[in-house]
Amino acid sequence: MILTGVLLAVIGLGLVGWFSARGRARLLYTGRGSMHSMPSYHGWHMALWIIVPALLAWTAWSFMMPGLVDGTVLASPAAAQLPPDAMSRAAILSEARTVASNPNAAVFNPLSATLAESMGAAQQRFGLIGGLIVLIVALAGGGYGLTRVRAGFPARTQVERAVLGVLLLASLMAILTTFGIVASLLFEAGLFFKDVSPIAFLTGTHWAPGNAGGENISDNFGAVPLFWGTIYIGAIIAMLVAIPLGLMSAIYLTQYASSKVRKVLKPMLEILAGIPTVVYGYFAALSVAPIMRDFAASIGMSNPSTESALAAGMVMGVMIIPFVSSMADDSLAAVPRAMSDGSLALGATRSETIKRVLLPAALPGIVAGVMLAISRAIGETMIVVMAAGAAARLSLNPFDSMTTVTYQIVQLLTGDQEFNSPKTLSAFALGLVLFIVTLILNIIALRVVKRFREAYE
Amino acid sequence: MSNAVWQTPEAVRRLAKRHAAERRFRLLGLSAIVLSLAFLALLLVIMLENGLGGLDWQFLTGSDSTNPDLAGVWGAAKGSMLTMLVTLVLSFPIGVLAAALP
Repeated sequence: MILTGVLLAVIGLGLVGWFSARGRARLLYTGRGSMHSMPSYHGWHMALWIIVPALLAWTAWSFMMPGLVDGTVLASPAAAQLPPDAMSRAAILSEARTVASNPNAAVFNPLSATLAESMGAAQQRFGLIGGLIVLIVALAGGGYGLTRVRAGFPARTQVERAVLGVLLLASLMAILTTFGIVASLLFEAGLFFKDVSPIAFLTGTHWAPGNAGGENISDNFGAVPLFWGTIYIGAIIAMLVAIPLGLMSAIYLTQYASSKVRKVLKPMLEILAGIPTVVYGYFAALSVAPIMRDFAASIGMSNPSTESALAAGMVMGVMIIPFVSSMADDSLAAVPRAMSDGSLALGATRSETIKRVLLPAALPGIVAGVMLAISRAIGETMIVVMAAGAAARLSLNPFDSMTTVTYQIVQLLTGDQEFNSPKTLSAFALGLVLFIVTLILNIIALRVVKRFREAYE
Repeated sequence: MSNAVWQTPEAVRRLAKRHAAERRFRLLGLSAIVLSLAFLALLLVIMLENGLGGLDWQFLTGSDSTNPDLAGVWGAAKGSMLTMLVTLVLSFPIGVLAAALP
């Protein structure tokens, strides 16, 4: 409460500082070239000196305060009745914190009501102390800033440097987040591989994390059926749909369609990429899968399941079509005009030119596009969750239900989970494998595209 | 004259074959794009057919409920909007500032 008010006060002080420093700097202005920096830069310099240190102090205090408050409350005489074990202590303390901020809150533990009083007092006291510290820091920063308002002071350089620092911080944020994600993945996967051997994980064929435990724990974490399901659905069935349709669409759009037709058809094709994957998911599960099941029954399969790799893979392929198509489009357009003109001038028909000249020349780009498409398909989650099924099995039959890495991660991490069991941790190992495979595919694809671009420039 | 060479029955036949292949290829391209768009149309038709009937003001403004007649998406929509808001507030400044780094 108090700290929020202090924050507003600091911003107000910054505003006051901005105006006063600018006003003082204006008084110093005696003519062209009499000052290093414009008055408003002095204002900004002053405001930064007030706000930045105060904000740092405020953040530090916000982190420290709960600990200090808890320490005071625990030292109070009422706290002597607290149960000794840490967990119920923390529960009562947090309840007291709720009561202190909202006296009407329901109380489960009578002790917390008595603690709430000292909790509230401690919060008040430490809030006041923290607010004073922050204000003092702000005023000290402001005092320092005020002494800098001199004609020769390079306020502009300083402000520019501060802005550069902010920009650098913003770009580091993205990089640090990525590193954080990778680090957490590595750390949790490391915990998992402490219990389960990596070789058993990568080569085993029995996946049953639910009944893992005891001596032969590694036997239940064979992830090969998952990898097979992922590859079968994402890289084989989906690509069998997406590559011919996407490639032929791109060829038609770039080589045959008039620009008017192209202007209509291309955005319509892109709509396919804009449909939420959840919608694809229920489309696969509710519309495509029953058709597949009936079809499987009609060709004599006994007891076909509603969840099939074929339904999930086909719908995923449809989702990927615009992706493949636009990548192929780009690489076909990058082939120099002279090559296809030369072929046409020799008397080849358009389709012969496309098959013999354009496609070979554009092949690296197309392959790269397909790789990116695969990396998208194997990371796709919603469609397989809805349509592919949970049974981890190694099967070549596309009408069987199959499971994928992403589906299993969803299964392992949704709901209440304990984070010390290998069952939960295996999700991170699966995520790590998925991440590495996707990363490799992306790196190869980008390399190929880069080399290909260079070849024609 | 070269005309004689190009108009022998064999050459004419070969040319016709090549032109037929050309037409086939073109048709293949067109059918690929038509098939893709047919998927899109099918998806939209199924969605509209099953969804339009349930869409009314009550559905748009109602909150979660165990009673299907009262249930609506307003609560969920609000959650989506708040998620979008948080994403915007986080990513817009950081993204723009990171892009501005000289």
